[in-house]
Amino acid sequence: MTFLIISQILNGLGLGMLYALVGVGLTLILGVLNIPNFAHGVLYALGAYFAYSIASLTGSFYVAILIAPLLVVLVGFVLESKGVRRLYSAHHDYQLLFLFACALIIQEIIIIIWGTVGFSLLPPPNLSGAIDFGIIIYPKYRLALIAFTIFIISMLFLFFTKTNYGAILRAGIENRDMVKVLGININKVFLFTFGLGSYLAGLAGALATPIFGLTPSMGMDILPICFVIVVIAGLGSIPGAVIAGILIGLSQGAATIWYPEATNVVVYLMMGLTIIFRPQGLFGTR
Amino acid sequence: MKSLLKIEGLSKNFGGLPAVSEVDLSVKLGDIHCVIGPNGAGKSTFFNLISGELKPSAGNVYFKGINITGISPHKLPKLGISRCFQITNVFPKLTIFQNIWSAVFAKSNNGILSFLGKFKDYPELENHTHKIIEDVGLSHKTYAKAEELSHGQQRMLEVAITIAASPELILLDEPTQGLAPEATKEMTKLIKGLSGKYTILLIEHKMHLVMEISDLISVLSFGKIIDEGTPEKIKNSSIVQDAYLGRR
Amino acid sequence: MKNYYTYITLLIFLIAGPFLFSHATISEIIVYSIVAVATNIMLGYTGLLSFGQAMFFGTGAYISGLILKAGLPIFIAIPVSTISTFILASIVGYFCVQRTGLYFICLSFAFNQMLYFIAYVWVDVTGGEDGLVAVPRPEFLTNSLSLYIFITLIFLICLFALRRVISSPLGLVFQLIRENPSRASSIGYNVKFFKMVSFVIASTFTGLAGSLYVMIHSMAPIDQIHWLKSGDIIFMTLFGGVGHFLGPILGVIGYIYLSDTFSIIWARWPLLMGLLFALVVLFFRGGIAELIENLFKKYKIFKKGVDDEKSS
Repeated sequence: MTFLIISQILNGLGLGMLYALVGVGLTLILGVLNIPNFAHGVLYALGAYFAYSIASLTGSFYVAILIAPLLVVLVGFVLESKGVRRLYSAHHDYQLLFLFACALIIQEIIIIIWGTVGFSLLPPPNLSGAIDFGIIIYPKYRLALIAFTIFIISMLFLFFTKTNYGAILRAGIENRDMVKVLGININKVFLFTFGLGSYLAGLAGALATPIFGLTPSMGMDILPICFVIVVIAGLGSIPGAVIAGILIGLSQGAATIWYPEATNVVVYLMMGLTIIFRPQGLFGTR
Repeated sequence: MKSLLKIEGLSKNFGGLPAVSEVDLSVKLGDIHCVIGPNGAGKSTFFNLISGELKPSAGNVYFKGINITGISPHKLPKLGISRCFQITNVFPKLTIFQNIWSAVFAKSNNGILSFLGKFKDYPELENHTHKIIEDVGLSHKTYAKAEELSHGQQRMLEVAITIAASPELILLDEPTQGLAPEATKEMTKLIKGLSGKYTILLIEHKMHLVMEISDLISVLSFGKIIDEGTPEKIKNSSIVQDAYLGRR
Repeated sequence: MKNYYTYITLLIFLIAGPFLFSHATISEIIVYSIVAVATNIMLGYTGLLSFGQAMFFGTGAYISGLILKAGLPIFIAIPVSTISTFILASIVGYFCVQRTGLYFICLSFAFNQMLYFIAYVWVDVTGGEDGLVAVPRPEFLTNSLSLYIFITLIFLICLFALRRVISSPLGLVFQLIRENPSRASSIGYNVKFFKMVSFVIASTFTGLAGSLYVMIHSMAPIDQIHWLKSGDIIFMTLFGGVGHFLGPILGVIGYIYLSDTFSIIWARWPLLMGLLFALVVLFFRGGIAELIENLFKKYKIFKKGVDDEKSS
């Protein structure tokens, strides 16, 4: 029984770290550009599908993990510069709707290119199999996933707290007009932020493939969870998104042991509790 | 003379930073009372505390003897307080008539059901609206959209919306901000014209205007009242000069 | 003057409808027209974007379907499901309006999907993934033409009611909120409350439409409560024209016609819809209604030019 509980906790943690990545990405775009990115889910899916194709082409999982998110960033750049930016003078609801329309388009393109049937992707050979810890035997890849995502989030943390550009982004979340007044090119900031958000979504998608496989609906399926993360975290809180993501992952892990049908509902239960008892979110101010 | 608005010990801290400290202020009925002070003195914060956009950390605000501290902003017009903002703040795609009628209706409506009535059921409100439009000289634009007006005309509309609800106290937040000298003169004349019927508390930067129209001036610096008096007294006050020149 | 033309056109369309489309299709168009015009109260008049309309449409459909399956008459099904949607809308609306517009969108979206999952797992009641099926039609409506007439009558009543709302001071307050929410508050309107009223009106009528929808195909499929359907509803409303009271109806006709036509030809037709949506958002935010209005204006200018030339 201990074996089951520990491995489910670890599963939940791994899932939670992936949620944290997409959640932080969405929070960044929400906080700096003030837009709920309805294309965030398909960017996650693109990360997975690009990784699949690159891995199939090159035979290397690591190359796929490296390149796929960068391709997603390119897509993000196109979305931001060709659409979102153009709608800046119109009401910002239209930017959201544009991204939603793009999500529909990209979703269909994914099916056109890769078909309607799901795929699976094997982890790289040196991360296959499991490690025996005595009390549990746990898959190598999942351990590596947890370690790697912790590393990425630490890098993000350093970026936000120690670099100038990170400070600008944090300032942008707090007070966008102030950033403009400081003479910083707001267009560049927006483009970069959208790119970073897209990168995190794409990376999460790519990393998720050996565990969850690929299905065309994976983009649209993860989007609601992203929004729940943002609501629980508090709009605009990056640490909140990390914690909320992990909490949701762990809750789903717990649900899998005790009440599997509730795996999806538990997410919304947590959201419901948050909006009743702490509507501004765990860390939110607005 | 009675005080219409009485503020006692009003304070606001933003996470340890005192924006407004222990402010006592009385606005007498019928006065034009001006609040001045160097930039960052806390004038806008002070206004926001009175009108309910911000909740004070301490202190009380009394209007006609009633404690209105921390009240929701939308409840002020019914009590008799109207606020006019710094930036032109009208309803762009609605007509002048609609802009003003809304303010009139907000004050005089009687409960939820009246919201579902028909416009022609309220002839008195309609007449009152037309009169106000006439008072500010915008009759020829009654059915034009607010966004079609010139900047100066929008400022007039702004003031019209503010007086539409027949307030007793008007809070004016830098009414001549961004206006050219000619428009500033017009606005000054308008405010002077209002002083008969309304009590006015205003924030202003333009000193000649302040000296010209004020009955009483309160000076705010670093969130505290440092001096108060007639224009003559304030003009010669060394305390005030020090504050503006940064010596305090 | 122009108003009369639009209403006459609408009436002509309603009469000609059963001859232009199949009865099921025209009934769907009318049902979605109720949704779109009601949603526009929120979107076009109050300036509120909600990604949650499907949850009310779906709820109305499920409850109405369940009541009909229980053998109760339609005159119980419609009011009960409408009142239920009203209660749901009040609860959801209360939470959604508490904070900024972003929060409103995120929360309406999340609530929608929560309801979807409840429908998905509560198989005993909703039929889960397969939807609620074998919903009986009341006897006097088994004929598809009489169903259409019934739905159209209710549609006209809804139009009348919504028109009354828009022409009243309440309708003006909605527009104040759209134009300048902080000013609306400072002149004396409780903006949160009125946002909630707008949301509840739009959502309740949408639920009413759902309660009619279930009779068209005798089923309530689960995708009617999915958040993507909310997106479709927003698209229809925007495509038709948010600046006009009846504008959204054009969007409904366009959407249903295009989707029926293209879904047969190409399974990936949502790609086209996405492209159309993007185009509308980028270049035609006023929708079809605004395009038609501009055409009329150009025609008037042209005609005036011709008349001026004739007289000189």
